[in-house]
Amino acid sequence: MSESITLEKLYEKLQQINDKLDCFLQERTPSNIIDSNILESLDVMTLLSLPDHLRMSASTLFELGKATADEVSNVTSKERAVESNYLNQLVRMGHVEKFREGRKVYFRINERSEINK
Amino acid sequence: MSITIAVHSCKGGTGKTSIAINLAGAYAASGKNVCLLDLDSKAPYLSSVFSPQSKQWINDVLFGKCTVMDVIHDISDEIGVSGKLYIGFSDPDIIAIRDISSKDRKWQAKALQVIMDAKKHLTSAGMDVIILDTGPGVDFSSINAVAAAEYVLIVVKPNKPCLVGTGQVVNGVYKLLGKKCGIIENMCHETHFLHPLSNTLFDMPVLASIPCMCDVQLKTDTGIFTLKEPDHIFSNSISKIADKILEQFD
Repeated sequence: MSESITLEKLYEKLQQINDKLDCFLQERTPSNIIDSNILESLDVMTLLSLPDHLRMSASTLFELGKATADEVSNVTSKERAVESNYLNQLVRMGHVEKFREGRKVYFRINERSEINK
Repeated sequence: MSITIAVHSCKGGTGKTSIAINLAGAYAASGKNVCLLDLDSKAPYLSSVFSPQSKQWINDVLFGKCTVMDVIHDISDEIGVSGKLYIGFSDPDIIAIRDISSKDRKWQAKALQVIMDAKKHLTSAGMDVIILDTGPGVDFSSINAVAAAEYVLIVVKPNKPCLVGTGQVVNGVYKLLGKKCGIIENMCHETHFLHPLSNTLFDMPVLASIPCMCDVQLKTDTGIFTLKEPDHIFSNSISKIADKILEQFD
């Protein structure tokens, strides 16, 4: 098997582990907040119920507004790759959105809720 | 540098608002630019003390109708301080209170972001200290304010229910949000209930122990006590608290 195919399979397996971890995290969330609508935005009570590492990343994003994984990792004192992983977990949970500006990838707290209602 | 202080307690009637008003007065009297925001939207109080002229409220900011700069009132000349004191009022009308009390989790998620943006606007406008007067206990309006602050000033009454409740909020909210905190024991009937016999409570510094004094409550209803009676024991305590908070950010 060529090296590129091995790496591809490894990447696929890692993605599967990541997805399973996300499911596990969501299952551990109190049942009263498991709701697809609620998970579109991050409120302070949900923030409090997140695991420590994700809460730190999300709290930092609240302070910074939009930020790259590098900028968040400077505040949380974690490795950029580790922080990037946490931020992507928050994206998959629906609490954070990810977007590109030029060559940089930014994260910000999901703003899909509507305040004027 | 600008700091945002949330004045919070686990129960009502601890003297939070009185501490918030007088702390704002003490900072403004020492030459700082201060903004005091009434985020106790379910039981607004500041409008009854200061009688705002404008009809724009913090509620309008939370509903996305205007920015925080549109709703703050400069009362510096009125009270004669060397710095600046701006106040943002919550709408005391019962319809407004009912309206904001009925908002759901999604709305509150956005409200937190609005408060964070308001903090950034006020910091850019040159505020040295932003004081958030919060509602008591753990609900969205109070914990949104706590989450937006860099420092939480916890006001406790020295009785068992308040101390037990405070311990829960310290471990279940403030510490999880990584907040710097300080505790004031207020309305003490026994002197030095906690301080200086104990300098910490729940691993948080106890900044002051203030005796129960009826004249403070009565005179706070009509203005800023620390400016009316700067030599009073209450005013001295507030000045020391103000200094101790800033020392933690040196």
